[in-house]
Amino acid sequence: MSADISTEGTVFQPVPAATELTEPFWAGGLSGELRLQRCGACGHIRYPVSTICPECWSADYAWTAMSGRGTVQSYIVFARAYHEAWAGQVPYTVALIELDEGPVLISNVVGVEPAAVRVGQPVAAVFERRSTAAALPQFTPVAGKGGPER
Amino acid sequence: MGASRQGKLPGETDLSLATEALRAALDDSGFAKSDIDGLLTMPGTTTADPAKHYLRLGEHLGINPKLAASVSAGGATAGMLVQQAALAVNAGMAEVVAVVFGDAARTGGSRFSAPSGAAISSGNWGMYGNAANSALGARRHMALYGTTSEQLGWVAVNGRRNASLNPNAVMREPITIADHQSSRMIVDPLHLLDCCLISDGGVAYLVTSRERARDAKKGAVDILGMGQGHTLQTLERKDWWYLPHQQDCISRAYRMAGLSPADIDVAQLYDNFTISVLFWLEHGGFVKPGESGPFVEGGKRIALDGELPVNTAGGNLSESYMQGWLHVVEGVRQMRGEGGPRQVDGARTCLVTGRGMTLQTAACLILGASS
Repeated sequence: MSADISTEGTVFQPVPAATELTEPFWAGGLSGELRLQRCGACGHIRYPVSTICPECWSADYAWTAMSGRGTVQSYIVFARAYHEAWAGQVPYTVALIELDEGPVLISNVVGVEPAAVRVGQPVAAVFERRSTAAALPQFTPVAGKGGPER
Repeated sequence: MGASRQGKLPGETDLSLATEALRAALDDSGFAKSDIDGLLTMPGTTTADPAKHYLRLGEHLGINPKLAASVSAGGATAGMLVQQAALAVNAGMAEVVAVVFGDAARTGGSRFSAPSGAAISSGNWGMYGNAANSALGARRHMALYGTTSEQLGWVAVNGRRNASLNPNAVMREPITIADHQSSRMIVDPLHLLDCCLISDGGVAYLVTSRERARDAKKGAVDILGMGQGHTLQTLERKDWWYLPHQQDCISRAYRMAGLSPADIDVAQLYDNFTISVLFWLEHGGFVKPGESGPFVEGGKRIALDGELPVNTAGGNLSESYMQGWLHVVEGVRQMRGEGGPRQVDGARTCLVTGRGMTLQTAACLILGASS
């Protein structure tokens, strides 16, 4: 995350700092794709972004588009802002999203009141553009079966 | 063992508080500074260049040990360092190891509200603060098992009730479930009274051989079992939220001690947030998965005269936030029968747990009264 950009007293939400490693993750969102690294050796799809596969340590990977579908594994609601850029957003939801392909992401559930979010709820990725180089994957509820399962 | 004053201590530093604690530990044991030949430390949240903390502290204290290291594993560090000290003593590498921590977190302005995350910071999604990780676990536990906020509240009420009997506790005014429920929301589902304090203070222990411990002024306590477990990955493990390494950690200690949950008389369970105590109760095998909420409800079973007295000095929630270091001190006190009005009658074994970082590290000790 880069330093916050502040103009005339307005504090904007952080602009994700794309590195050579993470650039495809952030840029994918600009074209509406949730892209993660798929290991070229063992096929494991990993997250967070990393230089090697945590399963087999292969450095060979390909950025691969995910379906963007998943479920809410858990969620929390920030009733107050711990960073002033979120002052106008409260209450907002931060969630653990389990993608259909397996990986778990920390993200937001948007387009729904926090009180209506449920564990196990099916969601689909949407993207919030934060700069010309980065769009943030977030999730919004979609119809479908779901429920808390361990 | 020994502890410094706790709470808000303007003018103190991590070094001065560590020194105060070690002085207290030497007084408690009757050992002298010259007896110390090992130095294991945990840097404070306000310590600069934390990896070299042992170096600064050794220089400050005038200790040139046979063995030294600093470890930063958050709330698991106290247990991890006691374990390393015991291993060193058993291997003959040192005879009296000082295990020391000091932090001026309160006056030093530590806020525990930084964004977490590795290559991609979760701060991008507005996830800030240590409470967030535990709140995610709490929410899922609630969804799967019907655990309620009021049940979490009983952990806080129990801690405060015990702290009211502890003259060294920072928060001693008893609280009710209504107080818990009306305390402001930090990050839903965790209220203010689900959260630990932020404190200045220091804590120190001396770890030595059973033979050498016979010289200790007030008697020593046995380490019957030790265990660790670490889920160093977070999002890559689907069950990270449930902290499975805690279960591994305690199972390993039970195995070493030859004990089972039914043999534990009292427990000091790491309580950065109330939900943590529920997880520990399940992972320690005191209840089945999902049954910890009903177990703590009403506060009777975890009270001083209950089935399993928990956090008898008040814990991180009410005694002082020494990242679990005081949990070991209270374990020693209970095993020496020095608990005063909060002594658990006839307690002979105590489970002490710790967990830290992004909920990733866990260490535990099973302490036993010296026979």
